Amino acid sequence: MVHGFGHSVSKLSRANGHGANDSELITKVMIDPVMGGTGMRGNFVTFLKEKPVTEEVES
Amino acid sequence: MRYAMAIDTKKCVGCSDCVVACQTENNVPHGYCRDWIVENVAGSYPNVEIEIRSERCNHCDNSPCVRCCPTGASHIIEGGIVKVTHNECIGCGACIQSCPYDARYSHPDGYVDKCTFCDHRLAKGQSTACVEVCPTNCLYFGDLEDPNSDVSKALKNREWKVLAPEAGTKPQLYFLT
Repeated sequence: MVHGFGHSVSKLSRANGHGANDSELITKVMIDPVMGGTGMRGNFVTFLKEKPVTEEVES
Repeated sequence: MRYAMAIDTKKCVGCSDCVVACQTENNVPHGYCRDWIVENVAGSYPNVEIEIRSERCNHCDNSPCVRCCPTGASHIIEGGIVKVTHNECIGCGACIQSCPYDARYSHPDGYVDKCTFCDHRLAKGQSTACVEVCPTNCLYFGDLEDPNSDVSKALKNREWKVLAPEAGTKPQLYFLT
């Protein structure tokens, strides 16, 4: 996913309302043992093409 | 009413968007800032931890900066927000020295300036500039006395800490760990 889009603030006119916000998909973080930082790409997403309804997923 | 902010140190990536948003919103002069990013690394492999914090004025309940102000320019308004009246400030810098968080700076125009929790935006029903702009939504702001506010919910569900609790200032910036 391309990062930086779908922001909710109207003053960020390029990102506001355009595309999807990938950071909204982050439901959990994992600690990288080598550098101690948080990895945010450990989330699984499900594409619902047939019935695109919002699903609450427990993290 | 008691405004407070919670910062998720696990979600913050240290992008400094909050810093730039604040500088733009509040016309902070070049080279100065009202909020800033701190990156702390602790431990050694395989137990390394990086903590990234977006810090600003803690709007303390027991604020040393207000107590030491000789002119009364530093004061607390409704919601516990610590503010400086610019035309009453003589720029003596006592408050800068007294702040354990180094949250104040000397404005080139001769007064002391600091984070106001964007009270001009709150009056319009908006949130602060830093909270609105955060790309990972790691900042939570609201009324601590309201159990349904973002900040109350965040503090209820997570472990948190405050900075320099030994200073006894009762800070209102909570860092979710």
